Amino acid sequence: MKRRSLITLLVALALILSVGAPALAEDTIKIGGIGVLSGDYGKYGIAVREGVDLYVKQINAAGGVLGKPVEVLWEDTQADAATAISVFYRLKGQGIVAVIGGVLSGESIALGQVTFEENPPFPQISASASHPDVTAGRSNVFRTCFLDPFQAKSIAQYMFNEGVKKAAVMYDNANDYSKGLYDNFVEKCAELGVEIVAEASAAYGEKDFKTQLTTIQAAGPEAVFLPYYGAEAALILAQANEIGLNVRFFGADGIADIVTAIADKNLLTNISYTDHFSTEAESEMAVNFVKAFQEEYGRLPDISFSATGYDAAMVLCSAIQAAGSTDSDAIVAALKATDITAVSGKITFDGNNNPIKSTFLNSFNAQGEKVFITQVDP
Amino acid sequence: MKKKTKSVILNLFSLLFFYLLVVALTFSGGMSDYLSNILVTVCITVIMTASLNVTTGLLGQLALGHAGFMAVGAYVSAIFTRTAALDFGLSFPISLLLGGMAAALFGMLIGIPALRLQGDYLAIITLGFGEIIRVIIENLSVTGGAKGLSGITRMVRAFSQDSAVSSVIQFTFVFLITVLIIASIFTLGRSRHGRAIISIRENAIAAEATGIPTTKYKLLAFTIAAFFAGIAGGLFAHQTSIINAKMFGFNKSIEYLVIVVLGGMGSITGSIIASVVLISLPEVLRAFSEYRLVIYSLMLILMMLFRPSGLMGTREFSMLEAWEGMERFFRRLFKQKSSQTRMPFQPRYDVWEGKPVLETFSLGIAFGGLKAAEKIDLRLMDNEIVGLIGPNGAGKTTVFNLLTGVYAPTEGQVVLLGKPINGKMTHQITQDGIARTFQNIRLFKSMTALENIKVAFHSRMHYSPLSGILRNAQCLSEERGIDIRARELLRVFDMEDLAEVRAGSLPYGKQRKLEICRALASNPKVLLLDEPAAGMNPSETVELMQTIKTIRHQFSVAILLIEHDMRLVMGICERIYVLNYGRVIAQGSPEEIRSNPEVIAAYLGTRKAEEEAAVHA
Repeated sequence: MKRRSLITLLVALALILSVGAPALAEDTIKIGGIGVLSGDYGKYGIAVREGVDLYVKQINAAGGVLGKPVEVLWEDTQADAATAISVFYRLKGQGIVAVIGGVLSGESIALGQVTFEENPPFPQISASASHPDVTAGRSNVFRTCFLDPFQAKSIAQYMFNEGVKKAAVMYDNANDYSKGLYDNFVEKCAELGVEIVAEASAAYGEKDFKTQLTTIQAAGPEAVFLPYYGAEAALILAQANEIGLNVRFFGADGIADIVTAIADKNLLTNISYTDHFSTEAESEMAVNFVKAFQEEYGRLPDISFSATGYDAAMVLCSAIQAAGSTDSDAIVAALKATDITAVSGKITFDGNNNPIKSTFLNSFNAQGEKVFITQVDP
Repeated sequence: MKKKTKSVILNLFSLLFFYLLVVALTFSGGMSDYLSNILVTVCITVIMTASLNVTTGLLGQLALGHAGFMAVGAYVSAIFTRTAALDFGLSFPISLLLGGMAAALFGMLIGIPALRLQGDYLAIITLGFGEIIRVIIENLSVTGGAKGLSGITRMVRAFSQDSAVSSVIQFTFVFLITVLIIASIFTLGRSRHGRAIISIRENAIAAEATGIPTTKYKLLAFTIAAFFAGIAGGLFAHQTSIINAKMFGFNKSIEYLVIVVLGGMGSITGSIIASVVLISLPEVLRAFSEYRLVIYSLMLILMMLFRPSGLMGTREFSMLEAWEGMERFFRRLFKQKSSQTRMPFQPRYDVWEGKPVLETFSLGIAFGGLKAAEKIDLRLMDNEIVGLIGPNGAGKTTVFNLLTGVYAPTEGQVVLLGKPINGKMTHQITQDGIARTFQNIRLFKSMTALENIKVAFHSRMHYSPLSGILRNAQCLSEERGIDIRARELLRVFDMEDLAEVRAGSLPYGKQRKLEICRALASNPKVLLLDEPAAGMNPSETVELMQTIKTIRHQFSVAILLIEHDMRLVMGICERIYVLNYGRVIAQGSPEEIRSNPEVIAAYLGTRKAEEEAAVHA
């Protein structure tokens, strides 16, 4: 018994040690793809992977990066931060020069900590992680999806573009998502000279918003911003209609599920909301992307992260090309200097490595189907 | 002895060799960050599974919320290193200790309901506890809510500027903690406290009747397991840099439980081996990572089919011998004089000569409307052998249960050595001087005969759990003392050569004897034997009679025995009580009883009773 157990132990150790075989000579540029690819959240990672793989296929057909083909090595995190760290180390052993990932915020924060602690910090770009901590304080971590509050700026911009002079906003003061959007909206309106004529606060889960709506109505705004989720927005639209407040309403991505919550679908035509991408986008890049995606996978890229994934690969490959080497510092510097027009619009990075980029404004038709309105550039 | 020394050297050197190998590889660049990260994961898993094995394996209580303790440790430790303005090298060890202590506190809290419950009920409580922890963490602001905590310092880079040096320090630290925890679990398992915990798994009723405060030891086991899990949590938090409540959910607990089951519940080395294999296997078979859970399940099914007790069962790899050998080596090295052997066992001779040692006054119990026993007046003189007989269902075992505190009497008094013992717990009564055997043998089956006896010496020993873990002089001298005493006791029963045999594999007659032997080890003044001759053949019975006579003199005990074998009862009892329908219907010498018409009626029935029975039938 004793001997047998000892042998088991030794075999196990041998197996562990055999994993760390050194990487072979490089004739490709290897990029690590890290994210959740299975389980409940797997669809988001798979959407990112499809976008990335599509871009890599195209760039390789066009001669690769620095004259070498690009190869993306994918690893599944199973939505687990500890696994994300483990697979990063594993991929690093296989000679990757940069990471695209993670997909979820938790795994991306853990991954960012590890890449940041590398000496020098290791280039990382996420296509979908929206938590502020993913890039905060980490010079080497970037992302191609916007943060939630950023959408409010686009909405303010769009209102300004449409000639709105007086706007109102109703939000939940106690909720991070709502408050963040509100703050950014007010800030951008002040910058553009759009006057906020009324502000009202109502908590999530409320059923009666008429008091607040009456106040807003009295101020006579041309448009109202509603940083809520679909359930509240549906009630607000219905009650606004009852009291005769017929202006345009705007929301952020959280409102997209309003379709399932609203009784009278005609009201949906009054509301617009922002998204990371729209398959009906009209820019040349976007049209080509949707076409190529359909050819490759036989369906529309209906999860926006396919577009941001495509963009992440594009931003990263362009940065490597611009850096002229696979040196970590050079790539990070080139990423920082990114100024590119990609599928989801124009992308540059702010001081926290978050993108300043286009958003896509959608509305609905009376049947509750999504209708693309316009792309709002920063 | 020689074999032991060899295994000591082998174990010690393989540990040292492994450690040095890792260090050498790290400095030579052969140890990638990937491998050192996996090694840390393995160590954390080893701590988690080994500690889970304390409750699930040693104590034998299924716990489904072990990751909850890990969560408590992880959060407390992470919050401490984030807020304390100390050097990481200092704040980190402190934070681990705090994390462990906080988890231990929760372990104690969960242990309190566990005192009253066992089996499935306890499993559900621990399951609930795991979920409660998760929900609380998700709703507190200090824990970062559902988003969790991020930006926790990662230990792999924090110890030094040089990444290789820092990595080596990390490994040294984690490896040392793991080895220390495993060693503590081993030494604790070998101490009187460990025996007490294992005896509860083997037979909780017998453990209590042998003088083990079972509630206290359940609590101790939960607390210790939680403490170690808390430390593992602290390590985990500083490995990943981000924690959130979902990481410590039900699935995590189950993953650890699966490893424990695969390794063998009750075998610490089994847990270690299973951890190493199950953590490294998915890494090796990365391509199959999506099928990881399928592989787990498959292994589990195969294991249950072919090795239901797990890889190692309850057996241990030779680590313990290594530890003991190392101790001997160090003691020799430092020429530490072995301290005086303490002899914890002294029979209570001649204290109550000629006086009653046990008396009951109108003792009775009612279960609802049913009076199972009433107005029982028994009196046991010093050194007396008294029989308690009666037809089936007369309430004999009920009387035993009343005397030993298994049931609380609803009326009357029990006086032992002049002091009332009503309302005391079974183990207290055992410590006060009543020991018993059971109608259906209740030995600690997977423990050796010697260990069975040692469990009963528990209350004669005094060293603390910490002494047990450290194996200090007090612990060793007491252990040596009871080893001698336990063997002496076995010799009295001609069982010395069976000392190392597992109690469950002893022949029936020997098991009966061992049970009596174990009862005597708790140094009773009164010995209650519940049908000691049941299932014995005539020659074994004759031998038993001889034994009972011997122990009465050698151990100076009064014996009260329930028996149906009239040859035995009439042969050795000086007085006999006859019980029927929960009442004493007769008492006296064997001769008097034999000719008592009421007794005859109770056993054989009267004409009148027969007639009545016929009418009612």
